[in-house]
Amino acid sequence: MASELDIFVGNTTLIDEDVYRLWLDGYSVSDAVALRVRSGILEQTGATAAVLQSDTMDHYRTFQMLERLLHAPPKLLHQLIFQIPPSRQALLIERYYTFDEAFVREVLGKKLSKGTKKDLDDISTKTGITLKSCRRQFDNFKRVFKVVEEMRGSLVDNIQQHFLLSDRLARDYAAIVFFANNRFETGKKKLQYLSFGDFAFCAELMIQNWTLGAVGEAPTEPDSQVDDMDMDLDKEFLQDLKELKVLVADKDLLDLHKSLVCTALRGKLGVFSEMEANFKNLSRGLVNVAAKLTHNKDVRDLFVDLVEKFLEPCRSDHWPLSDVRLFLNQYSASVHSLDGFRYQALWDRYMGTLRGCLLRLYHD
Amino acid sequence: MKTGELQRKIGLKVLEMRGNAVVGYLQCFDLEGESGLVVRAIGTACTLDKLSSPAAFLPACNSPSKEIKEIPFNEDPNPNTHSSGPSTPLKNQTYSFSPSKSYSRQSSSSDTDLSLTPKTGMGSGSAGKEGGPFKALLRQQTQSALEQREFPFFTLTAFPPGFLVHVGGVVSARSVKLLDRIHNPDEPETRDAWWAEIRQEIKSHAKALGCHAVVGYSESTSICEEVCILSASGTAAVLNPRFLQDGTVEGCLEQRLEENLPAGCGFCHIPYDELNMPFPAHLTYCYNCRKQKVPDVLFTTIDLPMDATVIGKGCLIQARLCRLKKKAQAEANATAISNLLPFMEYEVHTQLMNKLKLKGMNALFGLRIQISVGENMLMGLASATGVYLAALPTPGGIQIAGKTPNDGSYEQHISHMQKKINDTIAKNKELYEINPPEISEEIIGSPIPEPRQRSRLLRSQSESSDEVTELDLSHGKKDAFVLEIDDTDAMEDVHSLLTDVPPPSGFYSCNTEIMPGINNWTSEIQMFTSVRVIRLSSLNLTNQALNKNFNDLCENLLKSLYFKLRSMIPCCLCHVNFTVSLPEDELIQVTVTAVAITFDKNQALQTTKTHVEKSLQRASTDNEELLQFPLELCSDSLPPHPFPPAKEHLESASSNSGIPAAQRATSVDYSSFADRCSSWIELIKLKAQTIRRGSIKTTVTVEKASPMGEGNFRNRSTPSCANSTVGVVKMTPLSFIPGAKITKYLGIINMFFIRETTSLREEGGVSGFLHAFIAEVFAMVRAHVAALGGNAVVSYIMKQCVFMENPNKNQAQCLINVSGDAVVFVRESELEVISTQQPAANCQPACTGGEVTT
Repeated sequence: MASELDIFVGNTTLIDEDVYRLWLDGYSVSDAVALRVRSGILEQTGATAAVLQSDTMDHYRTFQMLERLLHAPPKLLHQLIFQIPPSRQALLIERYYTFDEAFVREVLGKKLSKGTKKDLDDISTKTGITLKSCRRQFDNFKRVFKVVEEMRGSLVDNIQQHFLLSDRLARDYAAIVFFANNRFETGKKKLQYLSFGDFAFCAELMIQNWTLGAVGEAPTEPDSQVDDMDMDLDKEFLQDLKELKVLVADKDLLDLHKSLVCTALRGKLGVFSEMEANFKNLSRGLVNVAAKLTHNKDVRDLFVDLVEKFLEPCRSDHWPLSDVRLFLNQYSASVHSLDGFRYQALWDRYMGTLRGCLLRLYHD
Repeated sequence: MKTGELQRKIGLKVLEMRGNAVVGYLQCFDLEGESGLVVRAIGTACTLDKLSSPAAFLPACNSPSKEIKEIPFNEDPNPNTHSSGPSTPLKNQTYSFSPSKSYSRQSSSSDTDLSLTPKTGMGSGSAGKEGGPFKALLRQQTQSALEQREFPFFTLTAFPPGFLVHVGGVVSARSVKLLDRIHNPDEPETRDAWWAEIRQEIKSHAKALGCHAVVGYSESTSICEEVCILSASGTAAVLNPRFLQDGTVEGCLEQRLEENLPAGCGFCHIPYDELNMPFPAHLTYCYNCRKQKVPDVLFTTIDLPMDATVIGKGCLIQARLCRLKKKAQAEANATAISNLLPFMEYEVHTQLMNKLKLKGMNALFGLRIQISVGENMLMGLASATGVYLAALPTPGGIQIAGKTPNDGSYEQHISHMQKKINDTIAKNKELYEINPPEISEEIIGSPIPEPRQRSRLLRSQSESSDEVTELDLSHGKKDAFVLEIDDTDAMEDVHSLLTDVPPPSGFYSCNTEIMPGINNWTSEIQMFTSVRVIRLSSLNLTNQALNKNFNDLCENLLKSLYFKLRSMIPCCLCHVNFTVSLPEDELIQVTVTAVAITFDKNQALQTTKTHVEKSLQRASTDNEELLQFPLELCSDSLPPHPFPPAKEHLESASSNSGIPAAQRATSVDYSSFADRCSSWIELIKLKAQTIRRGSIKTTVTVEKASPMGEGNFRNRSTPSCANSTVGVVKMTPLSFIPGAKITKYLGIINMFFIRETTSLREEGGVSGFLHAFIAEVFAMVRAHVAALGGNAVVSYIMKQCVFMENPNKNQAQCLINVSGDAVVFVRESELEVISTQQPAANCQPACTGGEVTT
């Protein structure tokens, strides 16, 4: 006796959260059934394996039908085929766009292209996430990217509006899109200790302060195809950053800066002597990072540079986080007392964000 | 198209009878194949009158007149007719009748109408609704006694209190016919004659039971190639003559009050003469009033009368049976089927009886026996809801007797099985809370041995008039129902008895409108359709293997339902409707539609106290069911008004300004009425997704092109699509919605879909194809109802689901016919608010019904 056909259709579409999770995780029907059996559901409900198989198949079919709607979540809300309560719709969308930390770390900053997609096999092997799930997550990134790429306005708002995601998830996607667009390198061994949350934090700060949208001024000509507001860094700003070089190039200015910082921090830092000895190196590092940002390639290496030039020296000297904070605060503030330095606003725009990022990135 | 025409015809017929509505409308398609496509419909004509003064409490007596008309006609070969008819169900309602359009069919069927329409005894009737705007007034008409009518049938299954005086039992008739013998396939005479024959037989069975009417009447067919089984069944009953004669509501009510009928047992009393019984039956004095005789078991096709006293809860009882038959042609085939039928009926009946006893119950309601014919087998599936009627005697146990008593191990086996059966009965009694009060025998007056009994199931075949039930089934007086294990068949029977797994705790199921013994429904309902097809391995099929496969199929299906709906516990599957068909040689298809309703467990304990009260509440909903009428009647009188109900309601809703969300929620956002229509049409035109994808893209480009400053975009932080515009439409096979009051009937929904695919694999195989199709059918019904301004479908039924596949060609076809009544409902809690604020609001919907009578 073979079951040729076996379906169940409810007027209100039944959604089983557990099965949805298994489906999202990319398990095949038989694997999902095995996992459900292991969860002890048969004992709880007195059902048979055949019942479970049929139930799982039904849910999988439903999810497959829902998937194309989930690709454009507003469609899920407006479609008439599946009657789903709003809370369930929200759950379906949110879960569908939720991604694995391990996966996102692998593709963060990579071009969301076919080439990367080919690497998903390796990522799947490496992370233990099923290939199917990897594909879904990758396609989600790519889809969100494509939709908001050409859009003006706030990145987070655009994502929220077109994908109906929660605030948290929309922010994460904004970070992913921002990283993919600017192609920041995140995969180097040195950067492995950083979590997605660290990068997302930095992305948010950079979107808020370093992009065109951050300036808050509308482009002069409305029709001109200027850079995307939130996705691209403010080119002008990056050009201007070259001017900061004077801080390290001008020996007097550098010395003055150093003495200002040292005076202020004497006795307050546990690692004062190390700081004093390293000041010029650190300052050079930070300023050079800024000066190099005119080149696309250097923009990509931003995080590598930050780690190499600043975070690693601090860490090797065992600076506590509080000392790093004190130093960075003082380091940024002291520039205001440098009379010969004309680029105060530029400095603040640069350092304000960088300080936040560095503090977040400084951990083991 | 055909259905619209059929409805109009029935409408005319009713007008001819001076009625103004059809209730209990049943419409079927017979896909005969070469000889054509037949649309059949039966219903109960009645007169709805506007209520002059709303009575406080009692549901008005309604006396639906009688089953009247049946209009079979054939597919018109002329394609022009097809194109000229209404092409979408939506149009049906605005369709104004033009005689030229369907002239040919009109003529072909009108004769049969006349021949079948009783010339005498045109019925009149009325229906009322408690507290509602309608009140039934019996319309005075020339009235002859019910008995004199040609077919005194009622398609309804629920009646007002006092309407049923006695219930005799199930009457049924079947007939095997060859479709290729129809002389003139385009004309309906032959088929009319067949049905007339069957109805005549039903009538004579009813008479034999001392009854003059048949209630809960239905007709069905099963077709395989050129062989067709016509079946009809109903419940023989004696009706209260006062309801049928002239009189007004007041008259009826008075009379009913005068009559001092014992509550809750009257209908159980036998209608036939005790000394001249139509078949051997065992009678006892009624356990309730102790004055009149009652049978020991009662089988009926109707819903449980609301005044019946029931002990404990009910449960779904099914009998399943398969019989192999040789492949044969024409007459030989028909003969083979005819020969098998009586045995199948007998076995189905025995199974039902055994299972009923095993459950410790004594009555079946909503009995529906379906016999399906295939190329090489016959299938029988009987579903009913078992209950324990307080008026009927306690059922005896089941005793197993072996045939070879000397064999020790055999004896042991028997006693082991006996023990298992006894345990099961005890367990079931506990499960269904059957604790009848102990009554000592002296009080009752006569000793009550529990001899084996037969119920009131009469069957026969038109081919042979000798009744199967005349077989002597009593093996002498024994103290209990005895099962003799004398062959493997019997053994298998006993096993199958014990393999039926009871539903998990917190689950109940029944095939009647509601579960006897559960009254505290919550508003959480989930209607569903489940379809299963199994392929039998063709090698060495035996009856036993077949039975087991079929049994497993049904049991697994039920288990799956219980599992899937486990989140709704405590709940009850109501109106569980199984349909079996044999689409191909080795395929069995089972389709189930039912609704799961959650109930409040805490209140369940008090059900006995509030039972009467609640059942009276139910009375009102039952009567509401009687108010359903096909919209055709409406559109005849109001042709230019496309959506009168919706508009009217809109007016009433808008006039209630200041009424909070409660009202607005139920009046479903009429502002987007047009949107809804268009979106629905979109849906039909093609996969709505593709269309909408396009539209979304356009809006995107508009946004991009607009020279608006970014600030405007920034401010729009909340997603614009967050609030869905799709209104919720509830669907249920029941005639009511728990916890809600139906304020308006918007007419019948009758939709017919055919879907074909040539890319079966790509759509996820047969399951994917049908899953998507049924989901779309639901969606289209919902969209249609929403377009009419309704928010629910009641009395939903999937009448046809014919599925055919050809996997080799990567093709599949499916035909689905669904129907129901579009309604507007208001939650009871919200209703109170509305009625206090504006008492007149309720009267508004009443007028629509009133207009029909003018």
